[in-house]
Amino acid sequence: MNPSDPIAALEIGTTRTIIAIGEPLGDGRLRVAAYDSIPSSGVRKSQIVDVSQARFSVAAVQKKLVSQFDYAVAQAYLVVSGPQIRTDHFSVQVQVPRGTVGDDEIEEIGERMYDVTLPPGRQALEIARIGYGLDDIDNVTSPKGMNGHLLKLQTLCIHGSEQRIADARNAADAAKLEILDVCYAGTAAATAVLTPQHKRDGALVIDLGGGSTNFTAWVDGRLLYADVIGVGGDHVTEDIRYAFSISLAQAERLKTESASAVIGPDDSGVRIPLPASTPGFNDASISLSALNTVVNARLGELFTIIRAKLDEANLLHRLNAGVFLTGGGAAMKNIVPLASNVFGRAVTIGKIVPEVTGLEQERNPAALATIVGTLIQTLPTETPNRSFMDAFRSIFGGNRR
Amino acid sequence: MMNSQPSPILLLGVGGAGAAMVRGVLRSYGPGIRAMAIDTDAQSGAVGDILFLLLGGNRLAGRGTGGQPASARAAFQDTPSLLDSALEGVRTVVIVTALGGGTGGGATGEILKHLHTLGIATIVFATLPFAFEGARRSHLARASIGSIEQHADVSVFLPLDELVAGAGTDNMRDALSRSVDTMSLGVTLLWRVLEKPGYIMFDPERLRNILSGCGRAQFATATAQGPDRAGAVLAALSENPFLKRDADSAHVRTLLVGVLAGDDLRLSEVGAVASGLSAAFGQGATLELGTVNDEETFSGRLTVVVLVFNESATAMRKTPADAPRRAAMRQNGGRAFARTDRFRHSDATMWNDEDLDIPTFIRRQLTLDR
Repeated sequence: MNPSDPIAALEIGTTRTIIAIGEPLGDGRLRVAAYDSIPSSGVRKSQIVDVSQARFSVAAVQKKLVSQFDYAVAQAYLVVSGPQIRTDHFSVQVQVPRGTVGDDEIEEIGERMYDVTLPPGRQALEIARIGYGLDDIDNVTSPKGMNGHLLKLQTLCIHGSEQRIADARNAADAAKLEILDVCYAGTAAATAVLTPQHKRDGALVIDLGGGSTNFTAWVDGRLLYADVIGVGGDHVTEDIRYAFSISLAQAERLKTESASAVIGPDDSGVRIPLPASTPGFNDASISLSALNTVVNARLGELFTIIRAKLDEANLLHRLNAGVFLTGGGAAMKNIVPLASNVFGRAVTIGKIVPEVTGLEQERNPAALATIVGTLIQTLPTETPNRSFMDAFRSIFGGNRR
Repeated sequence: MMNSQPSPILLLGVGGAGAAMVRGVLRSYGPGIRAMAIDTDAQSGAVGDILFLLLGGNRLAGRGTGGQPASARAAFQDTPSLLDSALEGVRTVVIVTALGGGTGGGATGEILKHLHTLGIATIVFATLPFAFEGARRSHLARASIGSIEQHADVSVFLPLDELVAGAGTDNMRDALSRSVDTMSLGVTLLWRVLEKPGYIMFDPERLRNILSGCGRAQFATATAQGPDRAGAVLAALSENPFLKRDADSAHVRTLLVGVLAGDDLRLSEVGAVASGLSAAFGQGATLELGTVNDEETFSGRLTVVVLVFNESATAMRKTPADAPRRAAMRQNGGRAFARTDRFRHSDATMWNDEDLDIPTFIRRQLTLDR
């Protein structure tokens, strides 16, 4: 494959199915040449529950890309998410026969780190280095040249359900879209918005998706924590629908147009009109305070759970670069002050890294973090991610018209 | 503009002693606290200096309970919405009361239960009677603790004997006055860190999140002057009877720390206090620290106020509160509330025995201002 050939990424999300096409520009830069989406069908909590409906969504996006951008996408990288994702820590070790760690030992342990044994039905998506150890010394940053006998490497393995991933592959296959490889949405989102400096300083990226929320914590340049909570924007919409006995469409409009993640001091007594769903019933209204109470409770709880997990991992105090919000949920009004309250850290909406162009007109680029991050991850680098080592091959099969 | 909005924190005195404590706190702090008192005895409100609600007007005719907690409990159950008109914009209520008598011991649990249904966070500072007041008062006080712990987000119980420890030779008035001052530092910590923030500040919702469901807390304060006042404060805290009594440092989860000083507060002092407390309670404890810059009150002095929450206390509180819900969950296929349609056929997302697919406002039993 020519390094400058376009690459494509597919995400079959809970609320939308999206395909993005990137053109590598060299030196780690990328231009997002095209992207389009349609509302998803057959997906709950980021997992496919109806393959035929999901297939229809994928095919519909492919069709739009052909008609609007003249791209016929035949191959793509698949972004996966959802509560099926799990993480585990592993440790591998190699002997240091000469008593001084050299390139050979580091290379060998770098190969062995991929030899993880997962439970049946699980598939590794990503394996990240957490840190080295040498004999009885932990947290060795760079072991080369150090004296010792046993070199150890701690790793974090992110893995998913083979069946759930196969469901997504099947939906794509049925739409005649070949899946080249699979990557995890949480690290993809972080790739899209974190600079190397952010990762060194310590950063938390929370990708607020429709069906689930992925979050990854980076410290000293390394991925130290990844997790998924099966709660997303869909839950906010559903809570609103349930609270006011309205349709999902009305609830979705209230969420995106009127709701706030923080209950304001002036909310009390304010009434907002319900988006009309039935002729003759468009003069109904609801309490803004009640709406914001529903949203605040849900999102506050979500952040509190994430905080508790990071506290338990003893990581919260190490996030000196702050918290970065991505995903569709990052567009929620006052999401930043709510998150700031819960985490006690600087919180910002993630900005796509400057190496990526083509999104200048996008109103909410943070919502594209996972799909853009996946494109970035497929770019050739000096130390490519193992899961993409053999992935640089033709995507478009010469079909770009 | 900010001052025109009612404070989201209300100080509420329950019972005659509670009303007196509110007055003591207001004297100690000065203006700026939204405060009121509720009592079955009309005399508590006779002074007219604070907003006062008479509890059980029909049942008790303003004559008090005669030391019967059950009368106060029933009185509040008669009119649970009595407080509601005073709660506009309130997100957190700090209750001060004395246990061992009728109104404080009987009504406080009911008030907390009602505030909980309104989604209002609650912190209770309750004194326990002196040993010399006898076994009956002590028994009544301890009988009230359960219902307070069940419904309060945070409860701090302060035995009066320990609150005046070391004041054996003082006259009674001075000893009690000092105990009110000591308690006031803890009670007013929230106001100070919110209203007179220094260099590290909280906002009301952040504090509310920190305190929600924390359970029983230990409370301590210490003040020092001089060049090594941070070291002196830490030394005094280490000897504080409330912390020594039953704070189990191995299980301490959260420390809420207020560092109160004038303009001369040094960064090194904040660092010394933080690292000293972290060392004392272990790295596993989360330190939430705010500073208060109040030159008028604390000129030349360094005062540190600490609220310590530990896991065992939290677990103790959760057991009775969650018991009915868990029983209901067992009866309802493991869920206390019905799931909504959208997630009915999905695998449940569970966290701490809660089904997150059920709307949060339902599980939290939040009242929506419709």
